[in-house]
Amino acid sequence: MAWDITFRFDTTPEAMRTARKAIYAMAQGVGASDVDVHDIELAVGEALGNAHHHAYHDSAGVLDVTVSFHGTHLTIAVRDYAGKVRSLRALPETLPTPSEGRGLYVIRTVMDEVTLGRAADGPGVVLRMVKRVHWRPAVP
Amino acid sequence: MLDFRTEHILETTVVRVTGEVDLGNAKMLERELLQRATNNHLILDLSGLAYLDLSGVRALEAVQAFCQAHDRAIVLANPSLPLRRLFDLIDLGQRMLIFDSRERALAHFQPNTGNPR
Repeated sequence: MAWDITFRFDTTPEAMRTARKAIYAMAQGVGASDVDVHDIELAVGEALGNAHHHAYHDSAGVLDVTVSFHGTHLTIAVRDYAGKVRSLRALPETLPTPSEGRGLYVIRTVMDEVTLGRAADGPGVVLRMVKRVHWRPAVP
Repeated sequence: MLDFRTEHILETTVVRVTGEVDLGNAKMLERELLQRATNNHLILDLSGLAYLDLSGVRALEAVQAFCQAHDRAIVLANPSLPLRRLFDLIDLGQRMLIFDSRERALAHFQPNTGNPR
């Protein structure tokens, strides 16, 4: 079983909530454990909030979110289109202070693999998060 | 959508929040809790919260700062396992008391009433 789904939306609270819930349902659909499903939901919520804050300074801006499942890994890529070149923060290895921002630390901790880099094909930044899942077919 | 149920038990105000807290309504959570934190210690019963992110945590920390400035306390009770996991990840328990049940939270403020600690 393998698929990729991309959806595009502005970072309004309603759209971000809908995206988070949709990805929660996708994680359930590929058979992720309850703990993993909640971890994925938390990481996605923080990733969307981070993009809204850092890329668009708390205004609504466009995001592309691509969710991919290829047998054993669920990958979520969050891409913004902020035109301004901005410095990328390193993924923190230890818990930052509340004022430093804890979102990336939480994402890095609950997901198996996280990378943050500039988009290859234009403006913006891509946060890519991977969770290993052990797919189990639904019982008929 | 968030729903708030408030009870006054001796010198504490117990607020049960139901719903999900994210960027879209974290400020509402903060505002509603600040309105209820005017006189008493605050117990926030989280058993009805299906989701809370760091924006919600920031709201709780803001309410805690207000309570401390006014010589009161806010404690958390009944977090679900996902909420507990988030609190553990960010060491929230180092800065805020978190109880597994509302009874234990009440006993923290009323230690001589025979409630379990």
